[in-house]
Amino acid sequence: MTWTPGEAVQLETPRYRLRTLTEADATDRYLSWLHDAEVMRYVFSRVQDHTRDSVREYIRQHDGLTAFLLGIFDHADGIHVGNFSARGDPISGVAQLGVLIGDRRHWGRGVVLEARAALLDFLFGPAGLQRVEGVVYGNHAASLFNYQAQGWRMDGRLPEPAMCDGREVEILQFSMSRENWLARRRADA
Amino acid sequence: MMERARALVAQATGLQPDSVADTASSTSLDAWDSLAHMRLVLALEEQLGRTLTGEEIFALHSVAAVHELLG
Repeated sequence: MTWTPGEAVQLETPRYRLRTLTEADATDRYLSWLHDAEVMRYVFSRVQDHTRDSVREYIRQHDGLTAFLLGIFDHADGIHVGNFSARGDPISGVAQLGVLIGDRRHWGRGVVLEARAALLDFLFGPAGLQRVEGVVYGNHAASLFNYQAQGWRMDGRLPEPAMCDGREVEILQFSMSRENWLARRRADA
Repeated sequence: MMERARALVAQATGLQPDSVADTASSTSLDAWDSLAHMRLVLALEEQLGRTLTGEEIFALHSVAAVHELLG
């Protein structure tokens, strides 16, 4: 895959397409996810009451150079089911990843593992990154399962817990290096 | 010895206990997906009477690990 910084990204997996979101993707459907308490249960979000304008602003904040916001679309019906965000530092070569699967019909179907694999291929390939990191609430069993299944390393926990489900929960840090990802891909081939 | 652990994994994954080997893991059982993992965690927390830590949930990827957690 060839890609020039600033160009829209489009990645294909067996069941999904990941592509750069535009302001036109700030739909009622997308907004409904942000108002769904169950969908947002484990999401780290500074904004509490999203609007179409705040969603457009969030999309604009991803410049396609070092910050990417990719929508995940089901091949079967073209429906937008979730997003990945990746904010990178070109000097350190490290990016922070976030994921939101807003369409609950796609929970438990392996979409994170499938889509994130394509995203990591892109970030460690054309985007030239060296490491990606993620954080997760320590009670988010599904996300912890996905990190383990994909071979991420648990690096530790943030110094302060956060409130989740009405109680203090530790926030755990994970990372994947380019070297480890490429080795994993070679082993899978 | 592993019967309890196998039973919990079977219940979480919707499999018959006899089809869950002592050596089974999340990579060997297709039915052990993220939702099954959530069910397994809930079942273990009920059995143990406490919430699991994130590290415990992360490490829980085999029948053997479940057995070890049950003690």
